[in-house]
Amino acid sequence: MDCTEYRRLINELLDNEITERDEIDLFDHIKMCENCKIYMVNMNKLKLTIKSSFENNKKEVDLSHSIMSQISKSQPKKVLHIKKSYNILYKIASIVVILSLPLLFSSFSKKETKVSKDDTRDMVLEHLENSQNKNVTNIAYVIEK
Amino acid sequence: MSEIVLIDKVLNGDASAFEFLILKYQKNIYGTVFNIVKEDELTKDIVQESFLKAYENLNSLRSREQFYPWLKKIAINLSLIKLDRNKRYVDMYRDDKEEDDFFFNNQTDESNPEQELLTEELRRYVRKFVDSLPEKLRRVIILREVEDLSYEEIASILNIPVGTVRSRLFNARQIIKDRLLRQGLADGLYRVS
Repeated sequence: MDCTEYRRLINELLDNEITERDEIDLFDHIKMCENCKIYMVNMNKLKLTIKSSFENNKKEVDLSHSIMSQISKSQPKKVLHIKKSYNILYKIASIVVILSLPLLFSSFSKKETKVSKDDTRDMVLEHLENSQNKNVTNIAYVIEK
Repeated sequence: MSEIVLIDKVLNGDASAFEFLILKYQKNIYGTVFNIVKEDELTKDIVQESFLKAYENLNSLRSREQFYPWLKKIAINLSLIKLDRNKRYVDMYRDDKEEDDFFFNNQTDESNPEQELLTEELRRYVRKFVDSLPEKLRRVIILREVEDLSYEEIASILNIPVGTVRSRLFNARQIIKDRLLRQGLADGLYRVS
């Protein structure tokens, strides 16, 4: 491998992208090659200089107000987490159950009333038959009709 | 309040929590975008769009600890798209007045002011040389040196093979190095090899 190839490896080394095998190869070469050693020092310095040259571009800006007003305009349509969707489903189900409770109660109570009326009538008829008082029975039927 | 808590709050419908994330990262995102598009107004537009996009797609963020790298990638992608679409990009960093301001504002209390001035001069030239690189080389050098992205990340963002990233970085550095040498900025700061 010539110096051009090793210089490519130096770039990879400084970028932390070199393979272990190439790294060993490169260090063996650098021990013997002063020019590549200087190249490595220079490249490292260049990388640091490029980074520091562009770091001053961080300007003091405050766009938070403008971004937040756009967010409030757009409404969080898409920012609905799955959990939130489940919460809404639970809420709807609860409302349906609560609304249906009076209906269930009323149907039960109607049934109960009907049964109790029938039972009472049977009881009265049985009693009247036992006492053999037909006049009273007829009167009872008239009243009921 | 931790970032993860803030993200949870936003996901649970508390949009106001997102403002903390904007306040925390807007300066860094501005710097990242400006390094790519080099235009103040366009940068502000892209920063806003990046945050809005992040807000709308927050539920697709896999790891909440990775919010900033994720946001940065959104901003870089938008910058590259806008740059290609608008073609408004002017190959100049700042006008002379701004450069002068920059030059004096950044003087420090170093014990060796001459050395500091020389370093500032070197930075100024490096920035100019980076900005005057062919666009495809400039993009990889900014993403690698300034944004610390890996070869693989750069390849993915620019949609090019990793080998191309490697060779573009190598070529870009060679060009900058050669220009610095021609400019006579090697002495003391930069050893000739």
